[in-house]
Amino acid sequence: MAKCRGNSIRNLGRASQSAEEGVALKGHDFSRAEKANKSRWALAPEGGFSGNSSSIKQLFKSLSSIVVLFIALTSGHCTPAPQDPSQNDSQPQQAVRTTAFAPVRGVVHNSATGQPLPRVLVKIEGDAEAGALTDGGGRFEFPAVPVGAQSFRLLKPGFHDRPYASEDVAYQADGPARSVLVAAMMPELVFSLTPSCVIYGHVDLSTGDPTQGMTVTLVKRVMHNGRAVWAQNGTTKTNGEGAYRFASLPAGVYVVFTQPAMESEPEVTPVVRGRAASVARGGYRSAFYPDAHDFAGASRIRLASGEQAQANLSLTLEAFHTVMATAYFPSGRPFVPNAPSESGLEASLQAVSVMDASGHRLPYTGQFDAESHTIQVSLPDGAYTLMVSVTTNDPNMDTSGRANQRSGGYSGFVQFWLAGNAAVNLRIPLARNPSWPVRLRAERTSMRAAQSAGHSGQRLQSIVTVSTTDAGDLPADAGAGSGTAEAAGPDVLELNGAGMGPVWLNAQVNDRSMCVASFTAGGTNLAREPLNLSLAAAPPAMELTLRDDCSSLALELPPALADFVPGEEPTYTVYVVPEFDTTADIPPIDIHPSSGPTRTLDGLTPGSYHVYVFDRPVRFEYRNPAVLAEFRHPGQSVTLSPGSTSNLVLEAP
Amino acid sequence: MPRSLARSLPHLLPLLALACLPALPQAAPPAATGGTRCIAGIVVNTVTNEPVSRATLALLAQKDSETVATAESDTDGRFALCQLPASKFKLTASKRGFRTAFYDEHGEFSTAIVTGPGQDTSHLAFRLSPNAVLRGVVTADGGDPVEGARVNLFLVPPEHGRGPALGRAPSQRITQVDSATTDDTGAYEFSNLSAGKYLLAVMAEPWYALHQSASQTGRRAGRSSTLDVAYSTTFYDSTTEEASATPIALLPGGHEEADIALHAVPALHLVVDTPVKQDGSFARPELMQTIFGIEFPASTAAATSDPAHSVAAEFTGVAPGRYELEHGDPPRIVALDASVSRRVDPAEGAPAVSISGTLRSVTGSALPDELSVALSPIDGSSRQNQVVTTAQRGQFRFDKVLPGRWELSTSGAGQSLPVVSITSNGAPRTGNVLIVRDRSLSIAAVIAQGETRIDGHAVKDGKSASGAMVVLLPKSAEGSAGLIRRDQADSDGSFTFHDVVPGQYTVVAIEAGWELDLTQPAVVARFLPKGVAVTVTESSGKLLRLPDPVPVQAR
Repeated sequence: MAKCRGNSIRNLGRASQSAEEGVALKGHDFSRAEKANKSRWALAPEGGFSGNSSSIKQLFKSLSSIVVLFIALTSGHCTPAPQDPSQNDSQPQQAVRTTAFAPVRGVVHNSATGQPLPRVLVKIEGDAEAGALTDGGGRFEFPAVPVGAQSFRLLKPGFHDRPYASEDVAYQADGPARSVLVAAMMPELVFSLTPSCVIYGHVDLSTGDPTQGMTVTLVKRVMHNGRAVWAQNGTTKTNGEGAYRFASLPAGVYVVFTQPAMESEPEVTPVVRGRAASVARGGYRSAFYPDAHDFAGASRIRLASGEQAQANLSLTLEAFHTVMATAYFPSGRPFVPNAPSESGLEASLQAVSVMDASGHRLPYTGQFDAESHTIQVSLPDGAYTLMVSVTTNDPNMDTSGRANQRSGGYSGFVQFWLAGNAAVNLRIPLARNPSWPVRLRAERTSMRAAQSAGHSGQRLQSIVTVSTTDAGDLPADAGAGSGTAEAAGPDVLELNGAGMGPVWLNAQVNDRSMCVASFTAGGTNLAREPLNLSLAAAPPAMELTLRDDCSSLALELPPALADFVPGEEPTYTVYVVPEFDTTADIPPIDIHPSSGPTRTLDGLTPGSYHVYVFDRPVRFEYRNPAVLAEFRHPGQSVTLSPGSTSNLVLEAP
Repeated sequence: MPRSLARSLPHLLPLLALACLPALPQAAPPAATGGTRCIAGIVVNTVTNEPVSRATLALLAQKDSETVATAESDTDGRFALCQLPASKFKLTASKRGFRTAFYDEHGEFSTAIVTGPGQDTSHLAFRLSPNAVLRGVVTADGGDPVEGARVNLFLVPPEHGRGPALGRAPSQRITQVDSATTDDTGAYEFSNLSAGKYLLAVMAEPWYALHQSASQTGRRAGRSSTLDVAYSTTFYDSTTEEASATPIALLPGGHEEADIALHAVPALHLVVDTPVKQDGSFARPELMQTIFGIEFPASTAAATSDPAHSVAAEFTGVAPGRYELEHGDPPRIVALDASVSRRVDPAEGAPAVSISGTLRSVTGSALPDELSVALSPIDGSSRQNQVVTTAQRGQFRFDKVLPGRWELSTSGAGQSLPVVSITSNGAPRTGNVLIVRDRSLSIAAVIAQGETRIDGHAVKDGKSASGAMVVLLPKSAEGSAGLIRRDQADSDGSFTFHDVVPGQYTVVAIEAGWELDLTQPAVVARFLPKGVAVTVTESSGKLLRLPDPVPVQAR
């Protein structure tokens, strides 16, 4: 007991000393502040304190109460401590010796009803890890939480914690953890949880047969690089009664459809080798809720928090016809997997994709029949494109790199109609997989360039990443449509692996001293229009121009927002949106006061920007002018001149 | 050559009478053309006896399982596969909502269809069973649904529990057939099951559980641990005792509901001190739980501290219960009946041992110079792997075998040679099961070297008995479970037993005898008088044809 008190007194001395230096609190509690660039509450080793006077006053007010509390708590915690610490080395007392604690109380509500929520798990993350369940009145209490900024997360099945107003493509349903500044005499915390949504329904078959094991797919409207795209959110199978259910969904816009299915799905192949055409099979094509055959005709299911939607689907049995196609290499030799093919390389089937007449991929799968050397797929009546890609590998690949140029992919396609008949003699001419060069150019204008004149500098291709995003209004296929560019000679990138159809190009510069000046294809500005890729024709010459007179923007929370107020801190989401067309992407920034009120963005292309501040986690379509126009708040304008650093004090949302 | 249905398929008569179907002899198969061989008939729902339309039928060659022909049943359930050569085929039917099956399927056996002169294969009744469904809701204390619970489904074989526990054939053991995860309402469903007896075991973690490591909780003494809870593995009907688990019987196409209630209990912490090797690595301990003889991982250890010489690896969130802990290198096994949190000492448990042995043929004949010998874990373990060694002139040795129950098997020249008995510590034991405890063993194993195939013909009332169960029973029941052979008669009544070891046998054919436990002499005795005796000797050669047909007996 005595020893313990001695420790507290010594520590108290240290804490007070720190307080005099204008340093808030000792230890790891401010680890996030440590990381921040220019924290107002920087720790002792960094010394300086550059805050405005109102925060200082606040801070000292808080500190004085913390010191009082510190005494109370440390002695309290020492009471049960053993006389001889060596007898209990598994329960070290360091935490108590160096950290002040404060009680934290609060209540959790259902955001939809305002009612208190019982049995919510309130979790403190990190070193201060702890948890408590709310009682019948939605109340929770932690008797002693280390003083400082703590990360809180709230969990309850059927609820989301501060979900993004619109999700990012990463499907993160819950927003960032809540940051709570724990201090003595802190006010009661008031949290709310958002009830999640459910989409459920029933799938009926025209035959009246029981519907079991039908695959149902859910896609959701999400944000990707400032554009709204459709992305797959989940798949499930109907149960023995034909019912399906997607639960724990955040609010949003959804589309539900079934995957195509054959009437019987035996474990053995029902196809006789080489005689696929003779097999008559029935099947169900994709149905989009409520009764469409394609994505365009699908209903958009809009769900607000806590809503449930029923989406029933009816499937009609149709005859599926056999399609058999043979793929030929440019030499005229037919494609056979694992047999020497073009240039003596071994070829294997990489993908068989079926697309509708407008080039949208359909969820049918094909297989290779070894007997007839054909690629086979079963399809209902309609107009299709069958696309095949083949990879070739040199089995004797050497390490010189020459083999790399010899091996590579081929692809080809055939378009056809099915109207009550099989299509058995299709030919697919294969051609080398297209890859499209992107020429890189640097405009060197700044002083730095002048200084390093004569030095060619970094290879541009080593600092640029170019990627593609499907621009069509359809769910992107996993893996498809995400082409990347590879180095292909000095200052040239080669774009390959992109899907067909319109794609958005994105250029990411990894060297912050360089930024995107323009990205064009022929006369087209790729920031304004997507690039149309097709197997039939190469796109116009692409050119990505970088500049080295990039600007920086220092964003600062206004004094009123940056104040140290015990309790939950607001998290501000800041979007810096260029007013000019650019393929560069500026991800949103989450700022809260304890993470440091100033954030600096560099590597920005000079020009005019709009800055939007939200007081909640939000992801929005900032590349869509119509969406921007709907904001009541016009945002703050800032113009960055070449090579400069500008400061912007953010306006309260 | 048309034959009456009553004569070719006598056992189907009651079914067809019930179903009031159009009489098959009058109805010609739809696609049959004169002079070509067809396999044709009707697909029938076993539960309703109604025809199944638009089922997909696929005919596979018996020898290589290549698809030979396919067809779809018409609106009356009829199908025909024609222009077939004289051969032996397997026929399978599938349809959404039904169990895909081979013709007249019984577990691993089915009736192959033989085409050729004198064979009527145009009047088959293919009985297809609708999927059985097992569903239920998993709830926690207070009736809250448990989302994300893992519901494991086990199938109890028909013969289970009647014979001695040891030495059971693999087909007599409980197997895990599926698993499902509960949705947000706590509901699970298995919707494509065959008829049978099932067991359920639910594994879940309370959604609100917080398991802080012992060192963390120690640092903050006095912290409430009401959230440090776990659910024990819970069986239907809501018991945590495996022995009290209630089996659920499912009929073909049947629907059963099985709700299970979980109860949260304080979680245990198991800390395992593990020495660190010179290169800084250490053997990660594994905590396993055995459910119906199958091992499941129980919890994942986290290394909580790494001083230079030992690591304290901690299992958190462990529900009280029986576990097996493997730790250290060479590994040791600790059988834990965990009821309180505890620390496991590096020296605890039984160490891996070595097993040396000799092999000898049951007939005393010479064995191949080299044989492959394998020890396979009986408890379907993911922890214990099969170990294989080579026997040189009948001598073999395994190092580092973990305590537990193992099956010894041998093979040579592409042939499996069953172990019929093992002598360990001077005590011979029938079968191929070896129990390893904490001491090294020296064993002698007797293996059956069978090279003879027996072909025969089953008849009933003078006609080929398609679908009858045929069994080869050794004369001396003693120590011979590994010598029993079974088959199902094909459509022409033919059957085959492979790899038969020299000895004296009786062949019996039993109608619908699939659920009999043939390892029990009392069960077998009744059928022996009407069986056909056969003696296989060293000079029997590769193929032995039974001269006399085997009469089919009623069960």
